[in-house]
Amino acid sequence: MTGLNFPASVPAWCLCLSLGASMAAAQEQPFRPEPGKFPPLDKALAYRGELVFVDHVNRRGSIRVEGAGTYFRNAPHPFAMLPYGVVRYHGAPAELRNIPLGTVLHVRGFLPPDPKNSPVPVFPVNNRTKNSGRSGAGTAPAENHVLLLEDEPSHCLREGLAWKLKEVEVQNNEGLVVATRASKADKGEKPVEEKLSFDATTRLWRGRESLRMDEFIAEGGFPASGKKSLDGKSVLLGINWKPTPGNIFTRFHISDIWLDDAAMERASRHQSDVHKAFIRSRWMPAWVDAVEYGKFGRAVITATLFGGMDNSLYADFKKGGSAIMNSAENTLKHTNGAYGPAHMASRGTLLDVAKASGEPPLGSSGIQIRMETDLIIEGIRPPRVVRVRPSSWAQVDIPREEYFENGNMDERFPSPAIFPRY
Amino acid sequence: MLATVAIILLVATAPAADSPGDFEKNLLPFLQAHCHRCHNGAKASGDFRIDTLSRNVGNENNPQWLEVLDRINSGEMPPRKEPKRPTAAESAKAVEWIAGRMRDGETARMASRAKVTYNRLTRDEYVNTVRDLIGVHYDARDPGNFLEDPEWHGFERIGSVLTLSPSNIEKYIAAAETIVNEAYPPVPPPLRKGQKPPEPFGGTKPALYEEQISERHRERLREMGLLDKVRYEMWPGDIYRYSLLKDPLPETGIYEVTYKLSGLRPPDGRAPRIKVYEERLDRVLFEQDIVAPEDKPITVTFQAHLPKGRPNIRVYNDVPGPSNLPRSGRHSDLPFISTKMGRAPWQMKLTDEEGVARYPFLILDSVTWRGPILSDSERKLRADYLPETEGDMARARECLATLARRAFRRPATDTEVDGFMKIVEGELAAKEKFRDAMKAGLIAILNSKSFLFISEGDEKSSRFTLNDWEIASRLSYLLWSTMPDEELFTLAEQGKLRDKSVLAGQFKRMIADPRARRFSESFATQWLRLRKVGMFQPDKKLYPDYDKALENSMVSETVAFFREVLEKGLSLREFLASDWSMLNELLAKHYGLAEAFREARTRYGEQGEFIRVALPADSHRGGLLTQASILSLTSDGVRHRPVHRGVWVSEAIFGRSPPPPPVNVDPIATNPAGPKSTLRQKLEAHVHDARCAACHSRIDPLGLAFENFDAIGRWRTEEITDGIGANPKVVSSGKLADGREYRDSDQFKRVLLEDLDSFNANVVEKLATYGLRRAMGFNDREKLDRIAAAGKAGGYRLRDILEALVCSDLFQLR
Repeated sequence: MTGLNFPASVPAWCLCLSLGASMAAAQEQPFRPEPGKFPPLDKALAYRGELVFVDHVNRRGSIRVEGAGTYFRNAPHPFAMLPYGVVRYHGAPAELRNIPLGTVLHVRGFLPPDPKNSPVPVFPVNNRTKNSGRSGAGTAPAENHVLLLEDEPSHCLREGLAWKLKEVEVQNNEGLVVATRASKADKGEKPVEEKLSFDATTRLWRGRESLRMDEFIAEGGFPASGKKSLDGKSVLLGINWKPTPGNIFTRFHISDIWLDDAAMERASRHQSDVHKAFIRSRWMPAWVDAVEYGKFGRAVITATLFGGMDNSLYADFKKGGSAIMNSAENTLKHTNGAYGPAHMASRGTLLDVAKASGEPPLGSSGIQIRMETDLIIEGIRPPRVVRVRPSSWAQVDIPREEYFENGNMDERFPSPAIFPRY
Repeated sequence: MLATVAIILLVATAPAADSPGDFEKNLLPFLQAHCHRCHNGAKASGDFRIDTLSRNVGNENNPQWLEVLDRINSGEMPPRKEPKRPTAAESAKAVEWIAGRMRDGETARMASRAKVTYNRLTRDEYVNTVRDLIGVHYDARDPGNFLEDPEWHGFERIGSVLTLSPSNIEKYIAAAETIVNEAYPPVPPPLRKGQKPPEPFGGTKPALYEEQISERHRERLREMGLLDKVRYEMWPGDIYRYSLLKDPLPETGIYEVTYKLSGLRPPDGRAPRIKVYEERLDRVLFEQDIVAPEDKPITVTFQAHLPKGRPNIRVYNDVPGPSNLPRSGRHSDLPFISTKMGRAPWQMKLTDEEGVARYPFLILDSVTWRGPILSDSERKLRADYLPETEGDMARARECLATLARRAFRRPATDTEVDGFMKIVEGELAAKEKFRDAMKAGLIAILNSKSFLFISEGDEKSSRFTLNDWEIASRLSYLLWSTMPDEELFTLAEQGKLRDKSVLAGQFKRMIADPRARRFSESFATQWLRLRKVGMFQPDKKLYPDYDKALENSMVSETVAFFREVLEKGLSLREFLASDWSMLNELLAKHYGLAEAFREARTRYGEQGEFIRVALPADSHRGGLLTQASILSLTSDGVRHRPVHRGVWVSEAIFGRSPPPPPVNVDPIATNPAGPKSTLRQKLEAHVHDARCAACHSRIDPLGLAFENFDAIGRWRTEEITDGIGANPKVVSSGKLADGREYRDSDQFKRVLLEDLDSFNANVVEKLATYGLRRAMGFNDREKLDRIAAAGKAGGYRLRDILEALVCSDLFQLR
């Protein structure tokens, strides 16, 4: 505080207060994702937790968030995917319905963009600093609108991390493993060490082989019993949670071990195929950037396709081809589908498919399409979400729970009331 | 003596080209030179003798003279091998003379008067008369009710043309029964002890009742306080089916309906148009363009004659728009509150991001009903004709006499009333109830010849002047298309209506009455043949913007124009060329005068749907001749027809009907001028072939002045023709038969203005035909000229001409 001339009568704590007040003022406007803009990943809160409940049609669920206290007591915490939110499983794009319950996921979340209209309960902005019962602080963060949800192998693959198994203690095909996780490219940081359990349910993958734990032990991967130091081979781990004995605060469980790259690639490839089939049947989500109007119902719609998906899906959008665009809500549900989602959708031709240069923000594919239609519908207006199908994808009917009819408000704006309060 | 003869001859020279009489001077030389050689007693070629035909052409031997006319006209006669054939001009002169005599004969026959002439009421006159007589509106124009009135040269009220057929009689009887039953509905039984009288009919209903709103939204909206703010949005072509209150209409009668609604229009687009239609009656009850902001709805009110019970009323947004099938043109369960709150995402997008409308659409708030509407005077009228006490025969006779006097438009004789009393007594003897028996008497009066026909003359004497009662009828049917009112009846009773100053006073009173609008509408429609607008519906592919609303607007423009000239005391000049017109928004857009219309509306604050618009100097519009109604009624829905336009101008402006075209004439050879030639170029044969030119040089130039206007009256400089290549430019210059030239339609109008006297004479003749309900003959010529002179003295003002007619000698003659 040099250089500041305050009258001696003003006590120092007044100054601290006023400084604190101005800092608080700066914090009065916490960051929320804005409609029409992809939020920067680095402004998200990162936390980890286990998938406990999934409402896959409304892209929301509950996660038990890891904290300082006893893990089992942490109440499942509701989360909702942002419309452009990316889910990854086994290193490939995925949907919530592909992830088994119990899988531990890395979350990057934001505050609700519209607290008045949230499909999950809204918590006080500073809830991550608060204690929740005996669970400690941070197990119920207000940042529960998720941009990125990835399981352990996806997280490692994206960040360039790998696990090294240091030590194992085995008894009867089950036991504990001490493993460290560090970036593959040696950056000189301290590796994260974690103790994880395994048992007969742990699957091992090598090349095209799928091994049971007893078979792995039989061929000498792990000792049959006792403790042993391992040579720190680089593997990828799938992590979930199984209930632990009373004195353990937080310990996770290994669901899968991918012993080599080939095995991981195989799993990724399968998940990728599953996701591609899913998107082709439910259509590519996007949001509307702008609409230019022509006579009667004609319009040219500019939309940005959401990101995080396989390139082959984007490649199906070809300039000069035809496409159909249906309106959707933030849950990506089609707004009508009684006679198939194409029934009420706007049909047209793709005037242009443009890929922006540089790396697009997470959530965006960087691809902007311009489509001209002869009859535009109410739901296609910026910054609303739409779903688009290029003509090369087959037209299929989607199940009843994945579309809504007649503007039923509960379906369009799912209520957070389904989440129990513990 | 010679002077008198000279005067008679002078007076006898009519403005029309034909000179009357004098077979020896006009036709005999031609016949002797070219026809008698073969068609005489000695040779009688073709068994046809001309030398013995009656010289009273037009009145005797008409079939034979018609044959002669046709043969000469087609060029068949004299035969080609004859050495000395008449020139085309000579043949034309002979043909015109014969045709003119034929016409005169026809007119004379039509105007020939027996002791009493009976002129049947037209459909509209019947409706108006019944309304003023007994206070009931009869829907004569509904399908299945009265037939259209037959027309003669456009006029629908010519006495000798409106004949009576058995089907007319059936319909009159049915109509009379309907009318009397509506005037005197069954008396409801008296209320029992403790029974409450039924609720009076009427009230307001919201666009949608609560029960009609989907359950899943009803409570939600109730909580938000929006349940009473639910409205009904209607995109182009949408239908609203819920106009009725919960109670049915208690009786047949006139009901007043009010809709409260907003109408949003897209920028530079059409306004939405509400159209209220009753399905079972197949009748449009009301239509109007609506422009009102979403938050400031307006009300529109109209009256309609509806049957008891539950009419099937549909409200449409009657503007062109995208098809509603198969997709987004549906209402969703989501009730509409406002464009801000939005509609279901899958519906057609009605507003863009700024809330600007993409299509013209209506937002309906509520419907209000009032009725049945019956004024006190109408109630009193009905009370005059039915005794209050049952069995009161003296009063019954009084009632019948009152109705008969008013219905016959003159005092009824005792014999006549006796006859009607006999009917009532006969019904009573047959054990009918008193009320029904009286109704039978009333129905009989309504079917009497003295009611259905305006009669002029006396059976017992040979009277050629009208009496006071007949003058009253003539005057009221001329100006108001209905029976005389009490004031006229009183004056007739006092014998004052033959006094021309009284007539002038009555004229001033009646022309200022709102009922005088009927004269404008009726006369303008008949004189200008406006019934033919839309007879050939314009091709949908060539003229996609043409629709019923535009067609109605075209006709309304001409009627409103006529009315403006009449009411504002303007002169006949305005009919030929004016610097203003009466336009509505749709028509202004059609003419390319949207800017001028906006000026008239905003700067000068003109109110109403049709407003007086000052036409810019280069608009090429002005006067009747370039109004869309005239230009399109003379077209055939695909292309314009200059010859028909010429005929129209000839008849409507000059009062001259061209002689009929020759029968079996060869079609004009295709013009070798080129594949992309205009219609005018193809009609070149009309100019070059002497036989065609004889008549067509007089007809075509009157129509070719309007080449710049297409089949629906739009301005153009090129004519769209078949073939490949650029469209040819339009040529609209020409030369009239008397040698005067014109460059285009504007100059053509100025040329017409030079000869206002002949137009004046024609207008007088048309007014007289309309007013006297008969064709004008040679004998009327002098009196018509006097009326024309009086009109000219007043500066050719239409109103003065009409007044001159009313105060003329002709008006008091049969």
